[in-house]
Amino acid sequence: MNSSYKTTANRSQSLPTLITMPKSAPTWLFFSGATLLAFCSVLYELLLAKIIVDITGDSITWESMTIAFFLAGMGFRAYFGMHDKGIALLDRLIEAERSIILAALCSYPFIVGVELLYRVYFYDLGILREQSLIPPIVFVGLISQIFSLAIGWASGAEIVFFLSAASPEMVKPIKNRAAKVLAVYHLGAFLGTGFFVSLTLRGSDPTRAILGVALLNSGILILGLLWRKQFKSDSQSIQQEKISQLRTLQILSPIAVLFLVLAIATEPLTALKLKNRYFNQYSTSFDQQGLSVNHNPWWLKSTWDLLTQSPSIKRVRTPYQVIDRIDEPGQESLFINGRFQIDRMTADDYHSSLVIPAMALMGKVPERILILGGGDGVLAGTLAHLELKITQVDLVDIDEEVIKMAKEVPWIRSLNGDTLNQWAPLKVHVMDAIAFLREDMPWGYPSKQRQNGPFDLIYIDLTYPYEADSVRFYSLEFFRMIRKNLRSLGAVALGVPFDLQRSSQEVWVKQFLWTLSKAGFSEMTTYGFDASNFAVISNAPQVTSPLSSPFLAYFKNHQNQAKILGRLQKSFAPLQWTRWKLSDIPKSQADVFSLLNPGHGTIEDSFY
Amino acid sequence: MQFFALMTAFCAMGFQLTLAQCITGLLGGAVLQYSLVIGLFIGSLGMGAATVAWKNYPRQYEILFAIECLLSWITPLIAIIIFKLDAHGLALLGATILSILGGFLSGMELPLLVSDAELSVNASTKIDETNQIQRLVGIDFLGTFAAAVAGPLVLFPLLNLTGTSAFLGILSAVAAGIPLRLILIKNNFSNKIKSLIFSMSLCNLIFSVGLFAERRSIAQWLSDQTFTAMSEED
Repeated sequence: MNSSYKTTANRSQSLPTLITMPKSAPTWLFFSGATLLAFCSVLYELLLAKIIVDITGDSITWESMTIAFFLAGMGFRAYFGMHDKGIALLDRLIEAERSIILAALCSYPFIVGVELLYRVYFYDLGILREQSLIPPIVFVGLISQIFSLAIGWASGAEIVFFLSAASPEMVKPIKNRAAKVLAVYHLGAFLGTGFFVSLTLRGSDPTRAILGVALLNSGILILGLLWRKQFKSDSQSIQQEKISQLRTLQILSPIAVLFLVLAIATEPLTALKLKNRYFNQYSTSFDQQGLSVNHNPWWLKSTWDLLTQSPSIKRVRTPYQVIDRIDEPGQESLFINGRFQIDRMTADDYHSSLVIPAMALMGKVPERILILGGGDGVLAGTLAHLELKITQVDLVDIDEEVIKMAKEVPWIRSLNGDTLNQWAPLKVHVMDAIAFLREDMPWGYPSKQRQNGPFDLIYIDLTYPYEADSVRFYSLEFFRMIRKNLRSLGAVALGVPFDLQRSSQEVWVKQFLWTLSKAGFSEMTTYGFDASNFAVISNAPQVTSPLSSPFLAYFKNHQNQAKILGRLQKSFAPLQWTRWKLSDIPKSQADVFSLLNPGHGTIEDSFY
Repeated sequence: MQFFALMTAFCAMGFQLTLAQCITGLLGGAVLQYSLVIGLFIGSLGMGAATVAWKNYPRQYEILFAIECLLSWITPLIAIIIFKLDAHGLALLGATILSILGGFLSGMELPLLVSDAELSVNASTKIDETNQIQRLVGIDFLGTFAAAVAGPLVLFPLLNLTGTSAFLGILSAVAAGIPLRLILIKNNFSNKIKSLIFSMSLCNLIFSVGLFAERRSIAQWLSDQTFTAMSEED
């Protein structure tokens, strides 16, 4: 022991609170405690981030914000430090652990509650709609950060405890103690992050995972309380002993009660959350089917109606997204990351509008087709239904679970005509769209499974650019790859989240047009009706008058002739469509969307 | 020293976020890529801290200066390295190595600073050692907090990925000046050696500033190199 340790130890022993100090804890136990507590803290924070991302629908921003608030809590707690010593410091740690467990257990019901209120008052009653200063979902995300901050604050107390308590008062002197504490604390955090990645890959429910972590943390807390009890037992009076037991009960009972309540209530809460989201958010669509709940200011009654009357929603988590499904006959719908994808009522209309006009604008029946996204198989089903002479159709979707649903769920199979199981020209590739397009890469798709050579028609049936993952599919780099994989007379068809002709001055639209222009495309036709908007892009001149396209000759006396003509008349009705010369777009108007320029390209989802 | 801790923590977290964003753009799966990079970062921070914890480094300012110099060379090149490696299908491997390297170097910084605080305590018992260490750790967390907010909300949209990495390189080069000053105070170097060290530091700074000034053209070049625009008919 060096001189400074001796000095500190002697000084500490002179304090009355430290007279009864028992012998110090073994070093390995001390470091194991630090590792386990860091493991729990980081897991809480990452799981909380996942819950918040589920609600806000924007992964990068809210993952970063949650990490940031957690770190801020830790930072401020550590900066202001704790000036207690010995047992008082251990009491602080016990309090911090109790707070962290309570905060973690309360977080989910609180966030669901705030979301519920927000949706009721924002959508149903419209009270906040006119007055909100910031987008309401941002408000919900920020309010939820109270928990990140609280968990961070309590975790800061943990690290302060280990930095301070690693002194002669509580454990044996440790050489380079601060560095060692930091090392083991980071080891725990690393294990926590690794565990979180494995949970994500397995598609585990974050709310259930929080319960598991809280259980582990409670175990550590109980060990801490037992240690604490042993510390004072030598000199405590019976009266003090009773007070101490009462305090233990006070610490553990709220945790036990909350844990049990949450274990029972998590499932109904999630059900309420999902029903509230889907049956409110898409009320217009559901109104047409007579499904939306009739809301009134007595919103609790409406909420009760929502829980009891609306059908249940099945949720599947995959490594890439969250898929929600309603299988109730007559109400079948599919949502990805909280956003509407298909339902029985609109699926055929939407996909026919994407598939048929593109061919009419090309003026011919394509031989090779590529579908990017569209794992539900409905677009492929629409193509199969046309009975075209197609050599090969490649469908690329990153999520195996979506493909599995398209093959197995009866209502989705009926929508796609069981194409994924039965249509011979269709080849399904489970991989990222950009990776598929980048055939030059060594880890690209094996050439024996992919016929080299460009495509006549590429359909982009991917999610809209509401968050970082989907913005990649609106980037300059992506459209360059698309162009590289397209025949000179080929075309690209996609659904767009904007009515391009009515919002041509929007910054996003300007950037989109400039991106296409810079990627080398020269012509674009846009059309749309109801809430759907489409664009057909090419580097070759498109058919001037799509209603009399040479493509129609293929369907002369064909059973689908009337359907195709009807679809074209709806898409290309006068004043409903616009032809754009992309080469004329002024080049200095705006930045392009680029993978190297993240933060540009996301748009606000007005439904969210 | 607290300012140094703040800057280095900001750079360390910024380094990792830029890395995560680069591979997210190329490979998709934002949550997975971010979790992977942050996990590796935290793990290697631990390794860096452990290296200092189990071995004594008497020349901590010299090591801190060397770490900052190294980081001021690596950081501005993050986007270029990852995008160039992607052309060979090695982006993920490159990101893994860079994340571990960046985390390891950054992990050594705080324990070295803390050991400095411990030494101060040994020198004078008037200083509250625990409080000093707690403050440094607190400042370190606040630096990472600032980077976690500034990265996605300010730096990426404003400067793009090449600009952000160059900006972080500039900060690292400036941060290197703090231990450099302490080295010069502690050691009685000749003017020749002083000029040599100053020139080296200046080169680091000029390198990052140059890349920052050319961030747009570098981004354009990277995009053209990685994603060719030519179709087969062209």
